[in-house]
Amino acid sequence: MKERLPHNVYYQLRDYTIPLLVVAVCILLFSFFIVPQAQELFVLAGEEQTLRKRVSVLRANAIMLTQLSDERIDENFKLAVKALPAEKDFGAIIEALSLAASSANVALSDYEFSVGDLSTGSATVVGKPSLTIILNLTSDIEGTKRFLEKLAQTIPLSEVVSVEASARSATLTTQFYYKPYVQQQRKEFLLVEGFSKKDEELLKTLSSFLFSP
Amino acid sequence: MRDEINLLRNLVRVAQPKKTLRLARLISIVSLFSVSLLSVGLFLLRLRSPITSLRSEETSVLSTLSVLSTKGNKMVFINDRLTTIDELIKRRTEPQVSMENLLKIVPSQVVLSKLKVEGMTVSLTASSPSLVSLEKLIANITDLLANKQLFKKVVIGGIAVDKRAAMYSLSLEGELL
Repeated sequence: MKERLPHNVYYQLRDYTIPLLVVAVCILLFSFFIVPQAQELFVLAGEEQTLRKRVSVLRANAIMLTQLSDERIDENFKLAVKALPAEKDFGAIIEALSLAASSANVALSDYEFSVGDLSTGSATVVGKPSLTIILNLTSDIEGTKRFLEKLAQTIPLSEVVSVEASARSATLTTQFYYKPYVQQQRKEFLLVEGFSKKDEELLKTLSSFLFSP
Repeated sequence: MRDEINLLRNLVRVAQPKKTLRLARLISIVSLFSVSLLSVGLFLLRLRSPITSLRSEETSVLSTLSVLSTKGNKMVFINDRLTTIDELIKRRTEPQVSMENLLKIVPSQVVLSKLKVEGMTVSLTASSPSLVSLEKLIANITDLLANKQLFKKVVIGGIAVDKRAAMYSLSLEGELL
């Protein structure tokens, strides 16, 4: 009787074998196939969203760049570089000072550059790098004020940080700004903005400023 | 006779719990059905994914953009410059405006012999043959202070007399708003 016991168990469980086997296979399939596939599907959904966004940005860039004329971009490029040069542009600064002085009807007696570092290291300056110039004007206070007004509307852009004026002459400490061009890898999928209304206004203002052609 | 040749005759047959078996079968069928359904569903979802078409679209737009890359780089450069220019114009001090406002309040008989504007401070020396004119200048400055215009604070340094030139001079320092 004892020897026959395993046979009894076999006959008892025989009917359960197939259902259990099917469930086991299903569990295996679920764990090793369906769950990873589902996870991959979520990853794909994220990837799709990123790709969709990227394509829409690229398409917008392509449309915007196609619509803009080369002449307009070149013109604005030159104006922007004139207003804020990439380096210390002594020639442009002297011309700007002369233009402002002649427009204000005052005489520039002399000027002194505080050149600073000429090495390429200055190109990595952070913030707003500038070139300081100390100017001496032969003019009364009214003339000095006129000169300041004209200089504020002259490019390259400058800022007068101090004025010491008397009845016959004035000494001005002026900073001319520049911005080194930093070579950077432009990411293709970054949205290139066209000229906004604010940009258009700024460009219009800059083009109305005094500058040598 | 049949009982004699039945090899399994001595086995004790235990009554099968039919309910459990049915449940096991049901579970297996449901599992099989669910796994099949999920597999087909996942397959269909993967088929529906537009990634391939998006990739090809991206490639075509990128090829268009490669022709326009110079323009694009220039636009990025101009936008960057314009942002900085705008900041500089907004941030820069305008001593000419302070001078203009000061010159407006100087009475006709008063001459500004020295005027210094540095950052947010102004110092000036005004001369006049008449004390009344200097007093008018002080009154005008006081009005500006009272109306919170131009000056935040003004300190009068002193009034000096040059007997030889018959001139009075007033020196003062102010803090601009």
